[in-house]
Amino acid sequence: MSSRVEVLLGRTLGIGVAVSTVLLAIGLVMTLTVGGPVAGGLLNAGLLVLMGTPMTRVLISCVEYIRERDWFFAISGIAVLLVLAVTVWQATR
Amino acid sequence: MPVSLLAIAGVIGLGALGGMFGALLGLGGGVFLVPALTLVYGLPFRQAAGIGLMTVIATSSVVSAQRAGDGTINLRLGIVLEIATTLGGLAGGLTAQALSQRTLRVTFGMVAIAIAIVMFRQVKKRTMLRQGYVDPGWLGGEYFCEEHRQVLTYRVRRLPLALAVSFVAGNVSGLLGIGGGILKVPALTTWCGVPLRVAATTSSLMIGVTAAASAPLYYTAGDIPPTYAAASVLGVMMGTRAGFWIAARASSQWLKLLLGLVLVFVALMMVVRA
Repeated sequence: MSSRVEVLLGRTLGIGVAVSTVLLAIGLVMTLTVGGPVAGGLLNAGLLVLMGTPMTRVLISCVEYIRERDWFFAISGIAVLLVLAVTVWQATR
Repeated sequence: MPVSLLAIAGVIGLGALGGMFGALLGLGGGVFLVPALTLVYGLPFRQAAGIGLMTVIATSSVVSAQRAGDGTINLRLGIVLEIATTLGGLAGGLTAQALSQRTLRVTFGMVAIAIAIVMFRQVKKRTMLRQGYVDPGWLGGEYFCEEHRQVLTYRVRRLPLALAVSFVAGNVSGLLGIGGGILKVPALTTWCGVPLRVAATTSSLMIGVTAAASAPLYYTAGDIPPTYAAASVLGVMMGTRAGFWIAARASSQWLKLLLGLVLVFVALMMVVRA
């Protein structure tokens, strides 16, 4: 896989963690000051974005391997996504 | 649950310490944060582990975002081993819901001892020299080694063994809320022919998705208290920056020794309390 993709994956991770940091920081400050459902919502949104960040990274690399017709690694990526799907299914059951 | 400002500040501080050690030594930081949260703050072990997993995801994402493009992350090897680590993470996350707090603490103690032993043995270790051209095969790769000022190629050997170790590391991660990189990296370097730098960066990429394979289980079970988790993650973000800054300026040998000792202490505390 080219270094262009590596940079794209790195940027995805960087953006995800930055968004979640901002959500968590605002949520935390609000929890300590005004409280209320919005504060809790921001905290939970921040945690969900954080959990979704590495999942998105795998999804993007999967798409890239499919585009490059690199089937072994595409299937590996799909297998990882399947495991993550089982986790989410088990968690929400 | 009323959460005081002081308690939050304390958790941010603990997160920062964990993140700093993590960045300095290539650990997820969870191995320090989880015992601190359960021993100092008296959180149930599962909540400490759940928070630990969130900090592992944050650390992994930050480190990988910084490393991406410098050619030391082996994405192909990463995605293959991630099949094993995420399966391990899922299994560990499911098992953790069924085990008692006492069992989890004892397990943590034993794993911390194992990590300390690895750390003591690594104190004097350096990257091994490998000269000449090696056929990288389908999983290997090449990277620029700063120490030797040249591009080195390497081949991944004993893939089944790497997969097995990755599964165990993922399992430990999902069970205890730590990254598990310290268990994978020595195996990849000594048994599978992966250079230390490549093993470390590829491992730090993998621990994020590994933790993400068990964190949702903790989240929906209510074992990730949002305020403490947010405070820890923010602390870790600050701590990793400090850690990178120090790492660029200091030798880590004495630090490894010191932290190995801290780990032994933490392990004993965990077992005694259990």
